[in-house]
Amino acid sequence: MSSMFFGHYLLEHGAINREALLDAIEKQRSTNRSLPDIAVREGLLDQAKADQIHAMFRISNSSHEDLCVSEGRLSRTDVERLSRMQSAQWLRIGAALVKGGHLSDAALTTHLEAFNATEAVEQRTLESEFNHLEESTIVRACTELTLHHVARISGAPVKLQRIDPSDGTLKQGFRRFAQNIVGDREFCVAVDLEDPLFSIATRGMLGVEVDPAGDAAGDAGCELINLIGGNACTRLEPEGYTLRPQPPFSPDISDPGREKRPSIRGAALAGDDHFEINIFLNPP
Amino acid sequence: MTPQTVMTIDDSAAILTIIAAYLEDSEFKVVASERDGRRAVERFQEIRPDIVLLDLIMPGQSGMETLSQILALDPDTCVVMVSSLGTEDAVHQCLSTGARSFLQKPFSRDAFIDFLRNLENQPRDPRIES
Repeated sequence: MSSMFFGHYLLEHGAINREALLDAIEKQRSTNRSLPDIAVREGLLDQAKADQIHAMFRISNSSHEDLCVSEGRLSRTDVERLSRMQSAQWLRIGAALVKGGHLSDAALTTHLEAFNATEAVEQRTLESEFNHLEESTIVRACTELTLHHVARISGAPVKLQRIDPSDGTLKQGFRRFAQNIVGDREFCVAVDLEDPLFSIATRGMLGVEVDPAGDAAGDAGCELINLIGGNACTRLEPEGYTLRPQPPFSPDISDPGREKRPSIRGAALAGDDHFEINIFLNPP
Repeated sequence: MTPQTVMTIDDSAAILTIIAAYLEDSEFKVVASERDGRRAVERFQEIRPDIVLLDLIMPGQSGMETLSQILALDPDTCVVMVSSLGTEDAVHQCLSTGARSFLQKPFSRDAFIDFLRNLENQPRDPRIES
């Protein structure tokens, strides 16, 4: 058992089938609107400006609200009004399943209560696992920043499923981007992106479709781990660490089983796609 | 108004693309982009841009070495170090070597352009002066 999204939980417990989940996700996609998109619909922004705000969002640390003000030149009052509209219209996965006739109200309530109870246990387990890890402060900083940046760049909800010691191998169908960190501690931080998520991430970073096998896509992946590694060093500085990232790199992926070194691995989901963070505390 | 000329130096083509997109339709004009520190110093000597945006962490010749070589050619050059690393030590090292300022990634277009506009008025990091 590991932490999961509510839709996946229902699927795993046989409450819905795959088609029902896909239908509900599609309903969410057609109903839920980002703040810039609502501003376009309300005639406050043009589409080009909204696209620009979406691109900024993916590669900055600012909120949609702040970007609508700074980039779209909307007033705070307008942004607050749009946020209220967004909240009122937002369709959660359970409601989408009920709306599609895939789940009754009563079943939703029952499953949601059970899911929340299970998730509470999973979150406590995750927290305990973090606390018992070697170099837990470093692992936590790298993991949280990976979740943050992958969520930004993919635009998908992100969830850490589990974190535990691993042999550090790169799985088939994933691309790895890594960065060595030197200083008070020496370690390597790597993000492994499943192919579909890698394509989404490169598009998010570059703003255009590129050949996933090309240099531009590789650069985008390296820049993602560079942000994670560099920001982690900065975040750890108040904890008393002096750390410095080295240039990011993409290890040879032709033989994923080749590299076997102990790591702390965090397995996570971005929507339906998998990604992992590996922290090698004893790099060669 | 004559645009200020900008040279960007970063090993990541993704970042060079993003910075060029950020500066489109602004008063700043990207006149050169280089991915290699050594080549960048040669190019700098040819074009002498108003502002140099320089990545700190690069393979081969590092950002610090590139900074020193550019300042040896022209000590008054306005060099801004750009990095995902924003530690006290890194900032101190860059500013004490002669960089005008330090910008930590990620940043939005608006924040980036405001940052460049304020370069002239920006005091050096107070941690360096104290």
